[in-house]
Amino acid sequence: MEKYYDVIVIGGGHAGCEAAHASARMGAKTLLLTTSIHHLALMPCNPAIGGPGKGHVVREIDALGGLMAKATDLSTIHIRRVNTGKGPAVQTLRAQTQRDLYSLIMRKFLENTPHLYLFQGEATEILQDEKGEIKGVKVKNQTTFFAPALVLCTGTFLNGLIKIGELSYPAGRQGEFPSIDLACNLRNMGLQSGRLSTCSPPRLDRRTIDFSSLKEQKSDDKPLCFSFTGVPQVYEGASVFITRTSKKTCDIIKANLHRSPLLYSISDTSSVRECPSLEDKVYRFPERENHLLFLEPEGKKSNEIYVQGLFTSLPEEVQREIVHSITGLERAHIIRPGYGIEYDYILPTQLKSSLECREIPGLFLAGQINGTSGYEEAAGQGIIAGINAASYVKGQPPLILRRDESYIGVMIDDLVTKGVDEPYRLRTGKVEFRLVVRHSNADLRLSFYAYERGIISEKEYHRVEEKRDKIQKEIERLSRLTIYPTTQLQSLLTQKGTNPVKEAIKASALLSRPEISYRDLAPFDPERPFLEPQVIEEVEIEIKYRGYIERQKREIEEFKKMENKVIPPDFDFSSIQVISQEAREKLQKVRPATLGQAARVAGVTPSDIAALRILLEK
Amino acid sequence: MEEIKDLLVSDTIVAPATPLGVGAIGIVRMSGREAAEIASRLFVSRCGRAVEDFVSHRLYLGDVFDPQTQEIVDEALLVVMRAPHSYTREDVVEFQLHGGPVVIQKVLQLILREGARLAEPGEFTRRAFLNGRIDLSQAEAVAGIVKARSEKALSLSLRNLKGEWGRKIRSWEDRLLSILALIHAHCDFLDEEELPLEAMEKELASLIGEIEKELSSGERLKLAQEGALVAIVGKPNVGKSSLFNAIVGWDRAIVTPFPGTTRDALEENILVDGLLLRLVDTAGMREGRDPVELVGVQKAEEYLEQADFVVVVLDQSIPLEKEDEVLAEKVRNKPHFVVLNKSDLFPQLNKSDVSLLYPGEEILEVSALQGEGIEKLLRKIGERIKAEIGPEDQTILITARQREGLKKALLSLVQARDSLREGMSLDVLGLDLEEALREMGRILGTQADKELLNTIFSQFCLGK
Repeated sequence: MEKYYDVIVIGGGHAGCEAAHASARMGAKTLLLTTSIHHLALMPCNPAIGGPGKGHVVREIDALGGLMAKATDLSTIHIRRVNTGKGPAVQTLRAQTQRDLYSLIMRKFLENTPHLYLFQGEATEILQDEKGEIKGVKVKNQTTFFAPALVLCTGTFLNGLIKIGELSYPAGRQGEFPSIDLACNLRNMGLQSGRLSTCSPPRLDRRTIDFSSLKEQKSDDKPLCFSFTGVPQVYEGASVFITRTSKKTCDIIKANLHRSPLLYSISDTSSVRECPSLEDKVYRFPERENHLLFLEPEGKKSNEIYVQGLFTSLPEEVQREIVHSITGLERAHIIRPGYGIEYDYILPTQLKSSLECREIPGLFLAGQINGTSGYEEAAGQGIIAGINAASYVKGQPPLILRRDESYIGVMIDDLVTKGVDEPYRLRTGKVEFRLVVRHSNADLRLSFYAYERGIISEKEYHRVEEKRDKIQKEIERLSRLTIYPTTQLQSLLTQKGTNPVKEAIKASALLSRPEISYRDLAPFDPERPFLEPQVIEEVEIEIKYRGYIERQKREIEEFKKMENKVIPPDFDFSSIQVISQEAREKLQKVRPATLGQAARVAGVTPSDIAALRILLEK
Repeated sequence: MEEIKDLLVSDTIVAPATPLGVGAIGIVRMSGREAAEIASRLFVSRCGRAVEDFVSHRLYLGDVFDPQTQEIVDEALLVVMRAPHSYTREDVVEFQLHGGPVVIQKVLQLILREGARLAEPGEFTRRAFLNGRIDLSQAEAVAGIVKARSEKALSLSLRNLKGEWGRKIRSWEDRLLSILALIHAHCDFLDEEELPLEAMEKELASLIGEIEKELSSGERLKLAQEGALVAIVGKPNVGKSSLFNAIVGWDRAIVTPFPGTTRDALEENILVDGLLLRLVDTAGMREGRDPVELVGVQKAEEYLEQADFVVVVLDQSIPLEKEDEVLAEKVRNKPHFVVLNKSDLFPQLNKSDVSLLYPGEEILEVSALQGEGIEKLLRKIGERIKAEIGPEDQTILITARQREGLKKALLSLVQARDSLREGMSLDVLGLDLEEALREMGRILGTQADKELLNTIFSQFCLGK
C-alpha cells in the first residue's frame, strides 16, 4: 500500500468528495480517507440539492469542474425552478434526489478519477514536523499516511453527540462512530473550537400517509438540469406534498419544550436563527400555529418520506404525537425518528481566505467543521480547499474567489472575516452583487479558474467561451435589428399589455420591456439564429436588467478599490493605539488581508478603518 | 511604519481656537500626549501648583513666559482637560489669553518651538472622530458650527450634534430594514406565504413622503445655513449702491452720480435679526453701450436668477420709464421687495403707477443717503426669510452631503416603489432598497468610504 501522497483529504462527505476530486484533477496524488466507504457523499438530512443560494453554489461547483451538479442530475427524481417571478438574481433550481443513488454515483465518480485513492479508516492524529508543517495523518489501525497538505472535512464527527429528548450518546452521525481522538488532537495543535448543534426531522412510511387532502407540488413540466453540460429532463411520478402544523402540534411542543435538549442548551451552544428546529420556532413565535411542512420522497425505490420543516430533537414518543397531529399524517408510521446532534467546529476566523489555517501551513479546513450547514455550502468550500491544497503542494498561489464574483467567495469571506455563532447558511440576500452573480452565468464567471488549473479540459472551457460569444453577438444583433410598427406588432404589444410603438424600434428596446419575451419577437425576426435556451436566457436577462446590471458593475469597481488595498501579512493590529480596543482585538484575531475585509470585521467602525487607512497610506 | 504610528499616537497639535482678529480673549488650544508637558514649560501659576498637577477642567491664573528669555508674554488662564474627558479624548490644554493677534501669535510660536505641530484643518475634530468621541453626523455638525455664519444655523447645528438627525435617519433605516427583511425571507426561504405587497407599497410611500418633506425643509434651511442671497437690482443711477452702503453701513461700493459706475457686483455678508444675508449690489439694468458695462449687466441678470430675494430699487425723483416695466417682468417670479429711493427729493413718480407694476406689494420709501427707512426694510426682509425657513423645532439642519445622500436614498426608494407598482421582480426591488439603506448608512457614517471621509474632513477650518 502506498503511504506517500501529495494531498490527504479526511472525511468523505460533500466537502471531502469535492476536495479530493479537485485535488486529483489538478494532478496531485490524493488520498481520500473516510470512516465508511458506503457513506461517501451521504445525505443524512434532506434528500434534496439546491434552493436559493444553495442552487447557485451547485452551479458554481459545476463551473469549477466539481461533481455535485453532475451527481444530482444522475439521481434526480423531481426538479423545480424556484423563485420564478422573483427575478433572475434569486432564481435557481432545487432537485429531489434519490439519496442512495446519489451516494453510489459519487463513489463511482471518485473511483474513476485518476490520481485519487480511497481508504477506509478513522484519522486519529495529524502529524507535524519540527517546524509545525503538516507531515501526514495517523489512522486508528496504526497505518500512517504522509502528505505535505491535509484537507479536514469532518462534518459533525468531531466530538459528535446525538441528543434525542433525555437521551444522549456519542456518534458522528446517526449510527456512526464519532471522532474523539482527532478532536482532541486538533485542540492540542492550538486550534480554537466551539460547539454547534443541528437537527434532523423524522422519516415516515409513505404507505401510512394520507395524501388525498394535501397540496401537491409537481416536478416542473419543462426540462431542467443542474450541470451546464447536462441534458435537461422532465421528471414525473415523484411529487412533493405540502402540509402544515396545527394548533394541536404547537400545544404538544409547548407542553414538551423542557424535553428538547437543543432548546434547553441554547445557552451553552449558540442560538439558531437561520436553521431553527420546530421547537425553536414554536418557542420564539408562540402565536404562530401553521408552520409549513414539505413531504419529500427519499427515493424511487424507497417508501421513506422526509418531513422538511419538522426538525426536532424531542423524545421519540413526543415526535409520534407531533406527527399524528398533522393533517395527512394522522396514522403515519415513523421509520427513523428525528434527532439532534452537537459537535465541535473550528472557529473559522483562524483560517485564511484560502481555507488554510493561518498558523498551520498545509492544513486546510472545509465544510461543517468551519461552522456551516448544508451539503452545498460544504461542497463549495470542499472544492476550494481541494484546489488550494493541491496548489499549495505545487507552489502555486491559492484560488480566492471574491465576493463580487461568486457565492462561494461570499461564504468563505463571511466565515473567515465574521466567524460564526450558529450554523452558517448561504442566502441570496448575503450576496451584494447578486444581479451579476447569477446561477445562470456561473460558468461564464468561474470556468476560467478551473481551466487555468487543469481541472477542466480545453474542450470544456472552449464551450464556455463559445457560449459567452454567442450571448454577446446576439445582444449586439438585437440592438441593431429594427422592428417596424406593423399591425401585427401593435396587436402583440396590446395583447401583452404594453404600449404600442409610434415608430420603428430596435428589438433590444422591445425586449427590455418586462412584458415582452425573446420568443414573442420571433415573428418579427426571421433571420434569428438557432440558439440554446441557456444562451437565450442570458441574452434576455442582460437586456432586460441592463440598467441594474450596469449599476452593479459600477458598484463592483468601487468595491474592488477597497479590496485592492492590501494589508501586509505581518501587520501588527494590536499596536495601533488610535483605534478602539475592541477593533484592535478583533482585527488581530481575524487578521484581514485587505482594507475591504477589515471593514467587514464585526465591531470595526468606519473611524477605525479611516485610521487604518491613514496608517497604510503613509 | 513605526515612526508614523508613533506620530499618530503621540504628536501634539496646536492651533488658535478663536479667530485671529480682535476679540476680548484669544484661545490657543493644544491636544496630544505632550500637551500638559509643553504647557508646563511655558506657564507659571499664581497658586504655585505645577501644570502637571492641575485639576482637570479647572482654570488656573498665571503668566505665560518665554523660557529662553524668561520674559513674560501675557497674563493668562490655563485649563488642562485630561484624556479621555476632552473633546479629542486626548490631553487638551487651552491658553486663554487677553491679548490681540500679536500675543496669540507669540504664544503659538512658543508652543511650536517646544515641540507641538500646527494642526491641519479639521484635525481636532478628526481626532475626536478617530478616537470614537463623536460619530460622523456629529463631526459634520461640528463642521457646521465652525462654518455656521448665523445664530439660527448655529442653534440648529447644536441640535444636530446631539444626534437628533442621526435618530431620524436610524428610524428610517429600521423601517427600511423591516421591508427588506420581508423580501429576503421571501426570496431565501421557500415559504408559500404571500408577501403583503400592498402594505409594503404603503410603507414605502410613507417613507418617501417623510424624506421628501425632510428634504424640502432642508432646502429651505439652506437659507439659514448658507445665508439668503439678496440682490439689489434696478435701473442705473437709482441709488442701488447707496442703498447697499446704507445697509452695510460701510463705504464699500464706489458711489458716483454717473450711471453705470458699478460695473461688477459687490457682495457683503450681513446679519439681520440673527440671520445671515448675502447682500449683492448689481450693475444697473439697461441696454448696455460698452462691452465692460454689458458684462456687468449680464452678471446682474445672473444674480437676479440665483437670488433668494430681490430688492427692486426705483428712483422716485424721476418718472417711470419703459425699462421699469421690463424689470418688473423679470422679478415677477421671485420673492421681492419694492423700494422707492430718494424719498428726500421731490417725487416725480406716481405711486399708484408703481402699484400697477407691482400689484399687491408693499412699497417702501427710503432715503439711502439720509439712512431713512433702512431699518424697516431690513426688518421686512428678516420677517420674510424667517417665514421661509419655518419654525425651528420642525427642522433639522442638514449639510450638503447629507442632503445629497438623502436625495440618492430617496431616488432608490422611488425606483423601488415604481418597480413594485409595475410588477418588476422582487430581486431588483431588494437591490434598490439596499441601495437606499447604504446611502443612509453613509450619512450616519456606518460604512467606510474614503471619498466621503476625505470630503468631510477637508471642510473643517483650522482649529476645529
